[in-house]
Amino acid sequence: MTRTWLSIGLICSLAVISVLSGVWVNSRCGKMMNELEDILTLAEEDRTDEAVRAARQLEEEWEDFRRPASVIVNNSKLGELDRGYAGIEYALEAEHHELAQLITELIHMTQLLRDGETPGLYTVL
Amino acid sequence: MSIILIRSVILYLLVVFAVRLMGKRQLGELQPSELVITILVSNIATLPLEDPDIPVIVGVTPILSLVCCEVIVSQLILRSQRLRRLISGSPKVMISNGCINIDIMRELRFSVDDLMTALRAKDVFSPEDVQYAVVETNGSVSVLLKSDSGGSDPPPMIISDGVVQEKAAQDCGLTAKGIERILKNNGIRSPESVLFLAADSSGNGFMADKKSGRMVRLEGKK
Repeated sequence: MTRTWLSIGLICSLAVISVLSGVWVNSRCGKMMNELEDILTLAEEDRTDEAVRAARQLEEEWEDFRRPASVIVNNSKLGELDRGYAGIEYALEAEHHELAQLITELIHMTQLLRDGETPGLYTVL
Repeated sequence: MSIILIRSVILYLLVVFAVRLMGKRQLGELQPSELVITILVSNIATLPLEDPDIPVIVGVTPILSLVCCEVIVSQLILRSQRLRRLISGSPKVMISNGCINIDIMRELRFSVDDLMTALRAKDVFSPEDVQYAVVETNGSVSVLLKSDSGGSDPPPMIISDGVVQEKAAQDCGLTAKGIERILKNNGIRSPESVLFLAADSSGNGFMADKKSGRMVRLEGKK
C-alpha cells in the first residue's frame, strides 16, 4: 500500500508542478508579448529612446525567464527566441527597416511557446 | 560531455527507482500492462540522453507518471475482478482432460508448433502425457501431467476473493445451494469471507478463508 500512496503522491505533485509551470510560462510570455507590442508602438511613433529603454528592459526580462524555462522547454525553441530578443535593441538603434517584421515574428514565436505549455485540444493531440 | 554524464546518472537513478516502485512482480514474468510500461520507460529514458536540448524533466515526467499509473492500476486490479480481466485478461485452458481445445488455440493465435514449444519448455515431450494445460495471463504455459491412475483436471476456481465465479460453477455443475453446502460444512457463512475456493462437482477441492488464510482440503461425496 506504501507504493500506491507514494504513486498517488507523485502523480499529484507532477500535476501541481505542471499546472504551476504552465501558469508561469503563460503569464511571463503574455507580459513579454504586451511589452513587444508597446516597443513596436513606440518605434512607429518615432520615440526611439523610450523604445530602446523598453527593449533593454525586455531583454533582461527575457534572460530572467529563459534560464528557469530551459528546465521545462526544449532548448532549441528558446535559442531561436533568444536570438530575436537580443536583436531588438540593435535593430532600434540602427533604425532597421525590418524592425516591425522582427517584432511581429517574435510576438508570434512567443505566443507559440506559450501555447505549447498550455494544454488544449490541439496542443494535447 | 559532463552534462550527458550527470544526466545519465540522474536517469539511471530514476529508472532504478521506477523499477523498485513497480515492485518485485515486475522483475519476474510480465503482465501485458507491465510489458508496455517497461518498453515505454526504457525508450523514454534515452530521449534526454541522446539530445542535450531536451530537458531532463521531459524524460522524468512521463517515466514517473507511467510508473505511478501502473502501480495505481495494479492496486485497483486487486479490488476489481472485472478490471483485472479487462487489463490482464484471464487464463485460458488449452488442454483439458487430455484433449486440446482447438477453439482456445485459435483465439490465442497459438499454432501447434507454439504449443509443442511451450510443452517442451516444461520438459514435456509427449503431448499425450498432459492432463491439463493453461495459458497464463503473462503468456507462460502451466502443465499438469497425467498420473499413473489416469488423473483428472484440477478443480476450477469457484470463489475468488469473495466473488462467486458463476461460469466456473455452472461449468462444473455446482449450484448456489451446492456452494452454500460446501461453505456450511466448513463453518463459513457467506462467500464474501472466502479468499478462494476450488472444487469439482462432487465437492472435492480446497479452500482458504480470508480471516486465517489457512488452506483446507474439501472432501466431497464419494
